[in-house]
Amino acid sequence: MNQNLSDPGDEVLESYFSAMRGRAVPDGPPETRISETIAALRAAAGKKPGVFSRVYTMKFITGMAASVLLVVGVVLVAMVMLRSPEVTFGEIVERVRSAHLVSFVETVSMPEVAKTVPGQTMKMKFLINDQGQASIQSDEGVRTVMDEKTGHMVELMPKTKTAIVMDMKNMPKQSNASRDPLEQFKKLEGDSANDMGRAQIDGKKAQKFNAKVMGQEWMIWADPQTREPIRIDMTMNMMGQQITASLTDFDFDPAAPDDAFSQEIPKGYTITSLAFDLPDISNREQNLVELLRGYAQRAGGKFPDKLDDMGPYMNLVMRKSLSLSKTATTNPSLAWMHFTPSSADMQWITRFWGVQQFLGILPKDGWKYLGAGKTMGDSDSVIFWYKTDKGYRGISGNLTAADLQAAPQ
Amino acid sequence: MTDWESIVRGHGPTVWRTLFRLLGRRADIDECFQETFLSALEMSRRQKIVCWSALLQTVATRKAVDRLRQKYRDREESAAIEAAASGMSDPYRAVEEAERAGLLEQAMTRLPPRQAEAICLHALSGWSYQEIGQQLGMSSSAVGTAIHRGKQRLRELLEVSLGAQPGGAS
Repeated sequence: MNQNLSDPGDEVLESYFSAMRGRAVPDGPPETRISETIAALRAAAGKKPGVFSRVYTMKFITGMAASVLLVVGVVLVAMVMLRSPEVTFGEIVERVRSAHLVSFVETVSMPEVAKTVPGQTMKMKFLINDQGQASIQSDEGVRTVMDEKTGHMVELMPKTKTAIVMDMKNMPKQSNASRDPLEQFKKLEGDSANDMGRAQIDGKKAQKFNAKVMGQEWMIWADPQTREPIRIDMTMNMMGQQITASLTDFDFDPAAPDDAFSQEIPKGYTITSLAFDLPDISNREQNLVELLRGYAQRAGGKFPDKLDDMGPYMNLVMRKSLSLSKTATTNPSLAWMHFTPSSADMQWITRFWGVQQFLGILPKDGWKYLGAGKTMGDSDSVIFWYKTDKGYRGISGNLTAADLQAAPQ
Repeated sequence: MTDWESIVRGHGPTVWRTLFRLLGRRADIDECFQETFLSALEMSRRQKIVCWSALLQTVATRKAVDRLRQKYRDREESAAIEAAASGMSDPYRAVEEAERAGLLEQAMTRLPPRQAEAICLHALSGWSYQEIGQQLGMSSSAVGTAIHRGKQRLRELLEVSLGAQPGGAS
């Protein structure tokens, strides 16, 4: 100790340090101080939901509009997680705060399909701003502009001169803040990615990260110098196919035309209007019950294997809507990119996002889903339980909820 | 999920002692103790914490230095000296030691915060230059330079303080 302190002529100063070190120091804080601090930490930790619930909240909009918007949430989270080991969160936050506009390119491919039908890929250019607006231009010319504040979305398909106008009403007020992506940047936690070390990607030196979110595998490469993402590969399963979305060509605060987010429909377009009244998801337990009921009704009575894997839920919705969307693209195998679900399906899938919020605020070991392999109607079987302040609540196979004495195994 | 109870119970005593050595006054320590852990929580949201002990000691030192600066701005040093003196058995020596500690506290508030942190971690917590550098994001040589300059400045400040005291060195 103090091996470096004793410079010549330092004795006087050392005597002062010695006086300070010699203060009568108790062994530790009193129990009351420890208890108060633990309580304060728990309260502070509870104020901000975990990264998954925030991502899911962002994807609330994603789920409304189209699966392509999934990427927005991915990017938002990834940008936070993409720091190199030297990067602090504060720097990331500042970087995110300073980006009023972000553009990137998404390339969607299906490796299995590509083996037999080459060229089955789709490229889309995204432009999103800090006002909750997004513009997505596909390589087929389809342009989608969304405004999450108004819930208004316009999709223009020049080849068929058709436009789909979608309005989402009754968005939950409590989610207003979380629908502003840049607001989320300031609050996200970034501890969900594993550092895979240095790597080369697209000819650049990068720091590689790996993460698993909502049943999806993410590979993320970031520039250690700029602290910006270089590429994000996201793998998911939809409609029984493995789909990989690669996000590249990130540009922060690029120059953009004034009408970049215009929702004006050109003359001569045939307009299809869709309106969605969103369900009340404020009663979290009931919302989960309705999500499970909707799943079982759509899946021949079976409950889902997981609560947090979006793929099977989306599959159930998309199977019903593909016939309509096949008219929107010249590439039928990618018709899912333009699916148009029914109002009832949209209402139901909305509940998925509400459930993610619910799970996000519960402690990791404070709930368990036991519904895999079970069918609707079994009143003796608890398919979900969670811990409350007073004890436990459970949802049984006949979708009734009740207090429990203990957590079922 | 972070097990805050284990962290507070496991590292609380070290944080408490770090704060106590620097601040010597219960009211200040109470506040800084909780602030230290709340700051650590914020940091854990932004980065993976590799060594909680090192992080918490660094944050505690930073909080204590900040508090000292605030305290001496508020001219409350006498209370600190009284509090520090109260724990010693030899009244004469206790007062003398408390005065020294109080003068050092005061002098440290005149250093740049990073310099003060480096000195505290080194001289009070016994950290090596390398350990300090890792926590503060500085090279070992930069830490050495900061500590050397800081000590030089402390000597000057303490000489001035002693000269200003009745019966002090001229």
